[in-house]
Amino acid sequence: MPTTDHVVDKRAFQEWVHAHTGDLLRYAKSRVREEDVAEDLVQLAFIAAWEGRKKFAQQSSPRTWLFSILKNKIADHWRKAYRDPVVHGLEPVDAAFFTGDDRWAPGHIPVEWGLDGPDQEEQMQRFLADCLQQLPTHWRAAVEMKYLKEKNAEAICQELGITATNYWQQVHRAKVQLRECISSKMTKNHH
Amino acid sequence: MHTLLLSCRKAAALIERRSFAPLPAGLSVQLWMHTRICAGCKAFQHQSEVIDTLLEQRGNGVDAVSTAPLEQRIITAINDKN
Ligand SMILES: [Zn+2]
Repeated sequence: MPTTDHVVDKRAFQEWVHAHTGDLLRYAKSRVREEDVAEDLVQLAFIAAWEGRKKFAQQSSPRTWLFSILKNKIADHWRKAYRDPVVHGLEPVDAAFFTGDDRWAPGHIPVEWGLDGPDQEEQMQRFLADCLQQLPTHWRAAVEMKYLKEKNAEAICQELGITATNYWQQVHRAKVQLRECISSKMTKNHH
Repeated sequence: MHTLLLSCRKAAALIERRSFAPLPAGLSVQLWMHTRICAGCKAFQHQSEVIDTLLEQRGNGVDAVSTAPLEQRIITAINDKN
């Protein structure tokens, strides 16, 4: 057996599993729709890490390395979802938010949220999580790819097979939708 | 000659586009002027930034979940590997 096999041995690797599964799973669950998919992605990431353990450079922390592998697995997941032709053609249009002359439509004009207090952040995260679940799949995919930040926009466009314009416009429509959804939850919450 | 006045729809789109690549100088000035006089787009810009931060910070919480069964599954899968 080559000596490099001992760089990360099985016992050390098992300690990584115990030490990092919680954080990796929490991260994955916030970035995909289904919990069991999140678990599968974490498992796939650990298997890939084990199989590629010779590539693990000691100077990088196990946590950083495992996270970068997980992010790639999440990107793969959304790339596949994006390419699923079933989801296309179902997208709502942002036209509903604007008048014929492209002003904000009545009832959709953004009004400052007036955020106060750190306890509000937790609530906002809950609202965001709910609203993300309501996005059409390929908009969600575009958003997730952007915030994984493992790849630059150019590489993402190439992988998704779309133009740069198409890509930022999809992220934009998704954000308009998210803003509207979060706003309505905040309004309900205040009354 | 092009108009100095952006529509709200265009301004909102430029706010997102700007996060991907710098805007051409002319557009950048038009957007700045628009958000100075348009409260709706100014609020949109703030909220877009808040949403960016929220999106980045997802999953950093400390909610305790039991991952023991998953950890066991992973270790079993690794043990099957050789
Ligand atoms: Zn405006």
